[in-house]
Amino acid sequence: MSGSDGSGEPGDDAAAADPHVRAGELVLGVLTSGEAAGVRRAAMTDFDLADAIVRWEVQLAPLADAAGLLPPPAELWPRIEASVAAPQPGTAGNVVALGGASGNAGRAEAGRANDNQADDRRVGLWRGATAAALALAAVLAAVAFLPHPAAPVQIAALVPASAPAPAFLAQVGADNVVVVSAISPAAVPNNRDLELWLLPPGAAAPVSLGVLPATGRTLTLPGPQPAGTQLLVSLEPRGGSTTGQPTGPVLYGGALGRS
Amino acid sequence: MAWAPTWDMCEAEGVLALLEMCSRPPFEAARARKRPSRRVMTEQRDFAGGDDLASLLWRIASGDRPAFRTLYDAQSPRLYAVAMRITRQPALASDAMHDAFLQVWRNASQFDSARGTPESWLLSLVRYRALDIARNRGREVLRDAMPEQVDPDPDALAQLVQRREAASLHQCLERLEPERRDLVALAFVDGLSHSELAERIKMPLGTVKSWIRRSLIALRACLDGVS
Repeated sequence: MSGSDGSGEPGDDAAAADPHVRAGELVLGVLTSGEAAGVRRAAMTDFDLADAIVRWEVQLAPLADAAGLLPPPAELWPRIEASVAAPQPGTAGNVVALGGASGNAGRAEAGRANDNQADDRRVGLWRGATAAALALAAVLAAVAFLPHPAAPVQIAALVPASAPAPAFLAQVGADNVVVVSAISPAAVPNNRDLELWLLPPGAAAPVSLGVLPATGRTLTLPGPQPAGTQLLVSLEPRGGSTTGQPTGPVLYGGALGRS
Repeated sequence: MAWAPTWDMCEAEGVLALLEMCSRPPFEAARARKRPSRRVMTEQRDFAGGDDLASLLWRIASGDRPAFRTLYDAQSPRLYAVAMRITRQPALASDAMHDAFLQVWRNASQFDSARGTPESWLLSLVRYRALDIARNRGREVLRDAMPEQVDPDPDALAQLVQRREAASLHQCLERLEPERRDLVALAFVDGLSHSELAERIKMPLGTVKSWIRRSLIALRACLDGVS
């Protein structure tokens, strides 16, 4: 009896926890923005949930045919074209020294080799699927050219909430310096900024680390972070959230693992 | 058939009505007229043509702007219709399309088969953006103001039963109780939230949540069984 939402039908609590149900609710579009963001966040580390989301997206897609066809206004394409032509915000001015890439690659590969172990979260975001291997290859290729902090001890891939393809790579050094590097260009709408957040395990609310340029950024964390601490990227008004908490959708995120 | 269903009727009856009644004769002329614009979508497995969605995404990932335009021309009527159904306002639908197509341009390289079909990937980008915009910018004021120019596409509906995945979905939806089936269709096509659905069908919120959950469980079991 008594679902958490007061639905009052037996078995609803179990149903609410079923990944297929949570994924289905997200894909159907019945969740509030906050609930949807919660499911997306969970899908970053819960692969059954991420898979379930993609399956619903594919299987329910034919329903959209019921919306029919409607040509968009003529001014829409020029607007898209202008945004595409506009330079990406930010420049590569915040990089530190190059070097030591082979060490990172070795650690990432070791992580992948262990990815069947549930407790090995280091690079567990990339599972054995072909696509994941391709994503990993892309990351390794990127890592070879990435700046990184001295003696990296933590690494996280921040992936789009809707699917497992890395967007940013975050490397945390023993000196608490974190280098967040763009692996593929992030989509930032006009008049919006990305904002980086730190969410320690068990914390009630994330702490802002400031605006994150689409090209990445280097910053210093407030102190050593436990494994499982999440780095999240939300879409905010230009200049960042004014409330101290994320106000837009969480687009990317990943948990720090010990390297 | 001595009578022809109207769009309103089809909508009220839910997706099965759309599939069965709304694909019948009075709409055939429209069907013929619209066929060309759906070519890329329906022939996406024709890789020899080079204009299938997957090929277009590959070309877009390498910065091919003509390919981007081809994709837009082929997909925007389908996707804009979806954005309009969800946001109900041309300005908001355009914002959703703009943001989603920018994501396509910048993230086309991130599409791969593990993320579904090209078609479902594009649809999801637009739907999620439209849902975010609708929820965040207060669609409430215009909730019931259906845009008059939204045009049901009987061709699409006819195709629904021809495509294999659509046939499975159709078969499984048919096994749901009618009111729950309608709820699923209303949620997906019109983007109504739990509370908006509850208001629309005048049922308690908890009941709506429970019906949706049970429908999803039943659909999952059925889709796993038939595919």
